[in-house]
Parts: sequence; structure tokens; C-alpha cells
Amino acid sequence: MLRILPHKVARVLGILLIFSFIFSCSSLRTAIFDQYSYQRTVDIRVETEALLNNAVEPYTTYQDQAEALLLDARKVMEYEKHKPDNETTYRMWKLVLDPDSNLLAGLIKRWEAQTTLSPTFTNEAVSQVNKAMDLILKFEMKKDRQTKDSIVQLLSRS
Amino acid sequence: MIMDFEKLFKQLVEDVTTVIKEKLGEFAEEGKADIQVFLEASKENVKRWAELVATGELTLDDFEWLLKSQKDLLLLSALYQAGVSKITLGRLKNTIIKTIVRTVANFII
Repeated sequence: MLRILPHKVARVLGILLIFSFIFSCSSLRTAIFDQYSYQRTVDIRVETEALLNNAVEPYTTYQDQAEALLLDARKVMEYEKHKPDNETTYRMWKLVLDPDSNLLAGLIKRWEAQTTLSPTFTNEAVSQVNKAMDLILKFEMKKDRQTKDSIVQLLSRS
Repeated sequence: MIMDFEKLFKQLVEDVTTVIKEKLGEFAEEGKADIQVFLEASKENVKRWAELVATGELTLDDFEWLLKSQKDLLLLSALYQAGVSKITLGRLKNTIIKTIVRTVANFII
């Protein structure tokens, strides 16, 4: 018995060490799939494509729509920002909505600055923005669904 | 218009790799292979835009804007790859926890 005990203690200590190592990996947590986020992103993607295809016409005609779309998209970004362990999605939205990046907000900024955009450029640029939106959607789909194993969930969050 | 496409593309790849390393730090290495695939796919876009500039359908300014949009898209793709790697590692972590819980349970019972 006395000979077995140190071996068992060593095993328990070993297990505790592994536990503490795993729990220290807090940077590995990612928010779970969110149906609301997914639906809102689909909405923004559809509205973005519909709006930007009009960029061959004067910006002033669509200014209200463009501003409303950007406001909606910023609301989604803000929602993502405050969700725990959701830095990647937030950073993706931040890039797409940065007016100095050449994606959604950047394209609207250019449309506003130039009044109208050429059909070829519009076609190519909208395709780029669509790809960006698709990446955000694809990432949301990659997230885990609500885990069924409550003990694992509990331990992962400790 | 004379354009050394290969030289231009090489420069684009170098710039993007630097930006990714700066912005993603530790996760930059993890999605490297996927980013390389994405970069190769970008080559077609950049080549088509260069041809559209040559035929006058795009201005040089348009071309520059689109090139930057490709850089931003590559950065977005790198964020995506890093995020997916993190999810995969998180799943591994959960599997390890499950194994430990099972081991501890067996040990105690």
C-alpha cells in the first residue's frame, strides 16, 4: 500500500499539471455558432450586393440606402465585438467596415467620392466585397454548435 | 501598356505576407499553406485586372484600388484561417479534457 501510494500521487499530480496547462490555454476559446449573427450577416451580404450593383448610377440617388446599410453593418459589428471569445469575427467585420480598407465601406467611400463608378470596375469590386462577406459567413459556419457535453463545456470555460 | 506581371505579383505576395505576420503574430504560421493557395488563386484576378487596364476598361486608379482590395481580402482570409486553426485546437483541447475526465473517473471509482 505504502509503495503504491507515491505512484498514485504522482499520477494525480500529473493529471493536475495537464489540467492546469489546458486551462491556461484561454486563447483557444472561440464563441459558438450564433444563428442571429449568421442571419444578420446574410441580410447584410444580400443588401450590399443589391446596393453596390447600382454604383454605376449617381451616389446621391442611393445615399440614404448606403448610409442605412453601413449603419446596420456597424450594429452587427458592435454585437460581435461584445460577444465573448469572438475576436476573429470582430476583426473580420472591422476590416470590412474600415473606410480605409478597400472592401465594403471603402467601396461606398469611393462611390461617394467619384459619384459614379464604371461598370467593369463595379463588377470586379462587388465581387471582391462578396468574397469578403462570404468569408465572414463561412467562419460563422465553422464555429461549434452548442456542446452537448456540459461537463466539457464547464471545464473549458474555467 | 507594358507590365511585368510576375514582378508585380511577387511584390504583392511579399507585401501581403509582411502584413499578415504583423497583424496575426503567432497564428500567421498556422494557415500558411491555405494562404499560399489563396495567393495563387489571386493571381488570376490580378492578371485579369491588368488585362482590363491594357484594354482601357479599367483605369490605373481602378487597378490600384482592386489590388488593395485583394490585399485586404488576403488579410481577411488569413484571419479566417487563423480562426479555424483556433477552433480546431479548441476541439482538441475538449477531447483532451474528456479523456482526462474519463481517466480521473476511472482512477477514483
